[in-house]
Amino acid sequence: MKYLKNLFSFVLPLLTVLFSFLIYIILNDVVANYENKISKDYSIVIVTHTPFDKESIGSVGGVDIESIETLDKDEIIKSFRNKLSPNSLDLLKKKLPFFYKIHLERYPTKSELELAIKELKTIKNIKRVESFQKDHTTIYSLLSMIQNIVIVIFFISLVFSFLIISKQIKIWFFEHAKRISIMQLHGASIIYSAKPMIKLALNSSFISLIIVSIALIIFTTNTGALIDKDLYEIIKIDFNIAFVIFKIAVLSFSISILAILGVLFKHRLS
Amino acid sequence: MIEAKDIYLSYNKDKFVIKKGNFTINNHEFIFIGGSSGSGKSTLLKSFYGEIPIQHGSLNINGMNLHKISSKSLRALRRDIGIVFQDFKLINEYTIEENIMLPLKINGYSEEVSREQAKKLLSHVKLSHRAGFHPEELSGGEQQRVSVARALAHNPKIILADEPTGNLDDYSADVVWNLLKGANEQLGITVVVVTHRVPKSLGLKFRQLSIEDGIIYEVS
Repeated sequence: MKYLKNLFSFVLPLLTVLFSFLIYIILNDVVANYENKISKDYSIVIVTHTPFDKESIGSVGGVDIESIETLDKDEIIKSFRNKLSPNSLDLLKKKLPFFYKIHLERYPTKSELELAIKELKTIKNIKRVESFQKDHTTIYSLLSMIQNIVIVIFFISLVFSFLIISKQIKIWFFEHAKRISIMQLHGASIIYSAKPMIKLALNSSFISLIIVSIALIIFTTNTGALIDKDLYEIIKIDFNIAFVIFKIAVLSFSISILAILGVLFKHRLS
Repeated sequence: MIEAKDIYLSYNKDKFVIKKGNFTINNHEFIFIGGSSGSGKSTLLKSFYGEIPIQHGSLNINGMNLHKISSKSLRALRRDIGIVFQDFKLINEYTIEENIMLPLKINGYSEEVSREQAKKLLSHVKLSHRAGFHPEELSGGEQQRVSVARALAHNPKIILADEPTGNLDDYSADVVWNLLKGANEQLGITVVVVTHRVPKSLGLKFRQLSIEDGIIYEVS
């Protein structure tokens, strides 16, 4: 019973930090997928007097250019075909400037976009710059804000969990001070004397890992059922579960091992 | 072998409990350390297993100088010593069998070997029927027999006993003396006992050291 109580006092703070880490990973994936999706709905169109050298610029506003697409003039004047004579259409085609569509590697922020337009306008050959975007900015800002909040929560829970686990280890040392001193009088090392506590901490890490992994598998295999269909279409979670579980395992065992080492080191110094 | 040269011991820097102690304890000897209460007998014994640091001089036990000993060497030294405490120092969470297994497991013996040896020793101290009991379920005399069995478990070179019969009735005290005597006579273990009352009829050749005003001298 006491063992279970001790186990629970280790598992609970670990679960808090592991779940916040898991939420952070999921959200990170959601934001990355969303960025990818909206970057396809987004482009900058430039109008030039003479043909534009596509190799002359590699990035704008601090964002790398993925590709520059030349817009076909025939496509542009297509809507006038019924209204103008073929000669007029030919004349119009000759008079039209050159149109290019710039695709960026990722979705730019508002300030990056403003800077990109500013930079493009400084290029002599460029007559006009237009940017077209669907109304994703609000959702994207909201997701980014949630992501930042989760990072803060994760770090706060990490610090508190570490402190709680360290405190639990110290309490264990205090409760078993007599046993530890008897063992040390018989030549046992501090690690040998603290073996039950080390086992307890590592078992707690393992149990927490199992619980969070099960939760992760349930979530990923039932995402469609758990999340609204429209939202599911937008966020589409597709990460490597094994790698995520590995990251959670590293975090879980690192917290326990570092807390143990910290307390043992302090105990040895005292 | 224990060899002390000009050792000074103190709990604080201003007041020395042992001033200039010189003595030699040879292998296989049975030694009593006597003296009045507060004379520093237990302090001297504690210095043998490194619980009290040596202020000056040198104290060599089995070739290790305790004045300048690393924590690793001290652990190694302690693994070679069996200690019997006046207050038994048994672990209450463990059964008495597990208590006896403790020094064996610390010395790296397997669970199986340790349990086998503990069973033999429990039989030797006539407590086999109580193997699964916890220390608090035993009388003081029985607990001290367990403590002696634990000190013998890993076949140490030296047994240090601090007032081993101080809290015991005459019968239990006799049993403990006989166990320590057997360890010395049959197993050749060096036994150092701190006591203010040397048993009259031990039937064993022994030497006696005494402490008075911080000076250690041999009683002829």
